[in-house]
Amino acid sequence: MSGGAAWRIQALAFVAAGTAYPWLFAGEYMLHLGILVCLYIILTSSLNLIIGYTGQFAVAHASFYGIGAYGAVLLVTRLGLHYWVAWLLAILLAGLCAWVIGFSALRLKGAYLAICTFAFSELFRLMLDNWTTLTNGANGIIVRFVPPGPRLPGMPAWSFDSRHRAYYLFWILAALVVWLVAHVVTSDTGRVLKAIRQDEILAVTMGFPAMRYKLFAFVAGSMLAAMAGATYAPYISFIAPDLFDINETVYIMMIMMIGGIRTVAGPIWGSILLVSLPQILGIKPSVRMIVYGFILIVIMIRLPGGLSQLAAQVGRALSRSSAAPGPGAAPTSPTLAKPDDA
Amino acid sequence: MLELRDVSKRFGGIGAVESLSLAVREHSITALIGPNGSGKTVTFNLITGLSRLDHGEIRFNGARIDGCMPDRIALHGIARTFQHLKLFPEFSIVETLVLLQQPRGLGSSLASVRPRMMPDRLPADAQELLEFVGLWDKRTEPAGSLSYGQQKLLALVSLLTMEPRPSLILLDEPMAGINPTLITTLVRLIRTYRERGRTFLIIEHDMAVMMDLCETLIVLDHGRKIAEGPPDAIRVDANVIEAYFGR
Repeated sequence: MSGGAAWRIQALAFVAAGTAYPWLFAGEYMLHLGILVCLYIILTSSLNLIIGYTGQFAVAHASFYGIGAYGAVLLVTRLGLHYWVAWLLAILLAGLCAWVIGFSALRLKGAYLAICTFAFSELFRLMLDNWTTLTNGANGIIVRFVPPGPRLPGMPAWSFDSRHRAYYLFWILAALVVWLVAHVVTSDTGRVLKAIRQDEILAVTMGFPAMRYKLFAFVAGSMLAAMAGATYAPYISFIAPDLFDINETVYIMMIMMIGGIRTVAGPIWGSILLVSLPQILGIKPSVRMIVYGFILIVIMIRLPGGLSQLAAQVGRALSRSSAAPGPGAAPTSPTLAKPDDA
Repeated sequence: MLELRDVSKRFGGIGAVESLSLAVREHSITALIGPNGSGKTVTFNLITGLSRLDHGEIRFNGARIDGCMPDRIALHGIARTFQHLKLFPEFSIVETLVLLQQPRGLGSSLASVRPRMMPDRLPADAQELLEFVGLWDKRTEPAGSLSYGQQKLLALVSLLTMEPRPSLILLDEPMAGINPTLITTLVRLIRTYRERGRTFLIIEHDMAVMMDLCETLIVLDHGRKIAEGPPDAIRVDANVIEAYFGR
């Protein structure tokens, strides 16, 4: 199927670009931007699973990101656990929290679910702000350790202490998350999730236990967000409550919408644009959200499928011009923007 | 096969269904008719578990199903269509039918690593059925882009090909708003699949069609059963005439 082939080309291009990036842009600052792009690819892909594919309008994503970050840091500093053990436990803790919240909140729909998860998001922020003995409150926590690297036989102990190494750690995790989400949404499970988004009552009367599927998407997406947080905290070496408040969730949602909701490539395009654009244009942080809001409005009106729709249109135009004459011309690929429908 | 005993459902102070008892025989085509607001769709919602009943019991093949979750009831073998047509509008016909071949549980869905080649996973009788109803050529189009009549046919076809096969199929106004040719197609489908062992309970206002199609008609009015019997008896039943036309 040409859609599948086009998608494979796009995936290969992303893998090649991601691997070559540190050679192309070697500077510390450019590596930092690359790491941010990878971070937001993880956060956006996982939210896309919950909101995009399953249609559950939950707005506490940054809280689970925060549970991962604070969880990993506190487990290392307070309990003295090995970092990667703490990393895993923080992700599992986020999964448990998501299960408890989802079990009650996912019975609600639309705006009601949004309000309920917003309340949780605020509760979490207030807890970080006020439980000062644990979290150091609004002053945040300075993280003084770096993730150790896996012990390899015949090699001295090493850690992710340079930006290069940190970049590759994030890049591998981002690629794994994109692959995992793509795999889920194109599988039997993904078909059920998409059916539930379109008509939950119909799915239920056809025998699908919708609540379990919704809970699965919510817990899995939240755990991936926590993984991003647990990995990011020691890299950025400082965490504070306002990194994980509702504004962060809104920012992730914007990346998802601008990149292309319900597409596998959307979170990648969106993260690249929204992380790099302010740097390129030199936008002040104070006007950042205004610019993003404007971009979002333009995209929603002119390009409802987001940047990945644009990428698909460009791809189609290219294949048309290169294979223009003759009956053997490659059929256009309407599935490029939505590889999940292949 | 299906048995409702003394079933009641109230919304606020209004009795939507009041001490309703009825039975549907296996391999029959039974009609559930009555004026608007007489409780027909509420009865369907009670059977399929979308509404909870206040009183009474519902048995299917001897087992009590009232109180079960809707997805469990579906797995017992009861499938339904909706008066306000429900479909997965973004799914093509193929994808809709493939979805209904899948295992229902989350665990088995996650464990399933079957190939994505969807047309290969169509049920064996899908092509015959889709060709019969004239939807084979439209099988890759999204369900939402089909005409209203075609959507109604798809809703029925998807229940007929569904695995595990539902033994009892509830149709809520399958003929409403579609043209006479399609009605003929629908009637033939229902008859054919009754011969193949399915049981149908149908809500419908088109009396001419129902008198011809069904062996038994159950008439509701204001949530109560006012008559039950073969077409000839219902046609001349004084209670039915009064409910429809007034005294």
